[in-house]
Amino acid sequence: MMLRALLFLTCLLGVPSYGAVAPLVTELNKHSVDITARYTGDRILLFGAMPGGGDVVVKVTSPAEKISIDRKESLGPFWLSGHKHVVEGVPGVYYLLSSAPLGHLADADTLARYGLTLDTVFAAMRASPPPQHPAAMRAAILRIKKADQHFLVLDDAVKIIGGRLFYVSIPIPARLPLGQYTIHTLFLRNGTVLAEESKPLDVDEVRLEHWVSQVAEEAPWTFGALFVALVLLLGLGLGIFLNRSRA
Amino acid sequence: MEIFLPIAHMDVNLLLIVFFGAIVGFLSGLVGVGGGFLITPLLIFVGVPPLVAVGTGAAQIVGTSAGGTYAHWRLGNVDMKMGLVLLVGSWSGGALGVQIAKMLEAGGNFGNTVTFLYVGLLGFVGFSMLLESINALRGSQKARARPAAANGEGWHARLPMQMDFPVSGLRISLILPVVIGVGVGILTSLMGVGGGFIMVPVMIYLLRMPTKVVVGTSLFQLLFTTTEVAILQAGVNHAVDPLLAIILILGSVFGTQWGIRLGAKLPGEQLRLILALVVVSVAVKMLYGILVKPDELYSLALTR
Repeated sequence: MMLRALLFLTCLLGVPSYGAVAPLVTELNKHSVDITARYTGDRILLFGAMPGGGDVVVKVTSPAEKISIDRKESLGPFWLSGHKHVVEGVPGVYYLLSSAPLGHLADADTLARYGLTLDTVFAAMRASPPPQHPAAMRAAILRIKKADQHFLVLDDAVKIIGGRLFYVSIPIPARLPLGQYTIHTLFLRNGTVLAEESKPLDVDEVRLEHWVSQVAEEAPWTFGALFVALVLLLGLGLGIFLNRSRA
Repeated sequence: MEIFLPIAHMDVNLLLIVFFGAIVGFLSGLVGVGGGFLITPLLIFVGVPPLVAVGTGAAQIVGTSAGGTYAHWRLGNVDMKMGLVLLVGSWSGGALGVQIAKMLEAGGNFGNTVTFLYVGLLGFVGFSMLLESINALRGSQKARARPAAANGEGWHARLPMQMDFPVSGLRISLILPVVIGVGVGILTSLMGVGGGFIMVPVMIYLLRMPTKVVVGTSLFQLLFTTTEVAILQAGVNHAVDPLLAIILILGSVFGTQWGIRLGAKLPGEQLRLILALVVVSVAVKMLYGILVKPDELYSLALTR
C-alpha cells in the first residue's frame, strides 16, 4: 500500500505543471474499510498534489449518529443515571487534520464557513427532551468524543513535501459509525480557501458480520427465533457429545 | 485478541469473554448452581450495555442448560406437568418483564434497576452462602429450624384450583406454581438469570417436591423460560448479541466439564466458601460503582 502511494507521489513529482494554477489532486490508498469481527481499527493514507505553496486541511466526517446521553446524578448516597436525552444530527466522526494550526491558516469566520472548527458538529444537533443545560451537554459530548478519538484536531498531521506534495495518515478508530464517510481536502493560502476536493470512503460491515447485523436489525423476530434455536441445538449437541466422551 | 461484537457494537477481548464463560461454567460444574447471575455483572463490568448483557445472558443460559435438561429428561427426572404449569407463569412473567425492560431503557433507568437488583440479589445469595459455608467449616451441623416445614400444610392447601401432580406425588393449588413462575420470568428478563437458585429451594421447601425431580424440573422450566425471553429480547429490544452468546456458551460448556471433574476431588465446603466470596465481591464491586462519584458524569451510547 505504502509503496504504491510512494510510486504515485514520485509520478506526480515528475509531471511538469503547465499553466498558472495546477489543480488540487488527492487519492486514497483504499476506498473502503471492511468491518469484520476481527476489525480493530485501521489507517487510511491520503496523498496528493497541491497547486503551489500553501497549507492543506483534511476534514473527515462520518454520517450523523443517533446517540443517547445521560448524566449521573446524586440521589442520597448513590450516583445514578439521571434523565436520558436522545441526540441526533451530530456526526459520529469529525477529524480536522492540517499542516499547521488552524488558527494560523484563516480567520474565525472563514474557518466556521468551511466547517473547520469542532463547534460545527453541533450545527444540526437536535436533543429530545431538550436539555436543561445545553452548553454543559455540548461540552460533555465534545469531551467524550475527543477521548474516544472520534473527534480529533491534529495540526501537524498533514506532511508537505517539497511545497507541492502532501500526505496524511488518517486513523480510523476501532469503534465507529458505519456508512459513507467524506474526506474533504482544502487548500489554503493567505487565509483564503483556493481549492477543495472530496473523496468518499465506505465504512461497512462485510460478509457474515454484515448479514448477521442486518438480519438482527431488520427482522429481529426471525433473528431471535433462529438464533435461539441454533443455541439450543448447539447446547444439546455439546451436552450429548461431552456426556458420551466422559462415559 | 480484540473482536467486534455486532449488536453490542463494541470491541471486547475474545480471551476475556471465553474466560468469563469458563469461570462461570467451572463454578457451576463445581458447586452445581447455574451461575447465570455472574455472567451479566461481568459483562456490564467490561462495558457491555446492561440491556445487551441481560438479553445475551438469557440466550447463553439456553445453550448451557439444554444438555443438562436432556440428560435429566432421559432419566425421567422431569415432572412435565409441573414444568408446564410453571412455564405458564414464567412465560407470562417473561413477556411482561421484557416490556418493563423496554420502558425502563427508554426512560434511561434500566442500568440503575439492574444494578440495584444485582446488588440486592448477589448480596443476599452471597451472604447466605458465606454464613452457611462458614458454619459448615466450623462443623456446627445443627439442623436449622425450618419454619416452612413446621407449619407448611397450612395456608396453601386452602387455595382454590387444586391439581394432582402424579410424578411428584403432590396435590396442590395451580395458583402457587403459576405465581412463582411469573416472578422467576420477570427476573429472567430483567436480570438475565435462569432463576434456578430461587426455583430449587422453592420446589423443595414450599412445593415439597421430591428431591429426585427438583433439579430436572427446574432445568426444564428455566430452559424454556430463557428460550422465550431470549427470543423476546431479540425481537423487542434488539438486545441479543450472537457472537457474545456463542463465545460464552462454548467457554462455559467446557468450563463445566472441568469443574465437574475437579469438584469430585475437592472438599465441598471450601468450594462453597470460594463461590460465596466471588458472589459477595461482585455485589460489593457493583455497589461501589454507584457509591463513588464518577470522574465523568455524562455517558454516551449509540441508540436506535
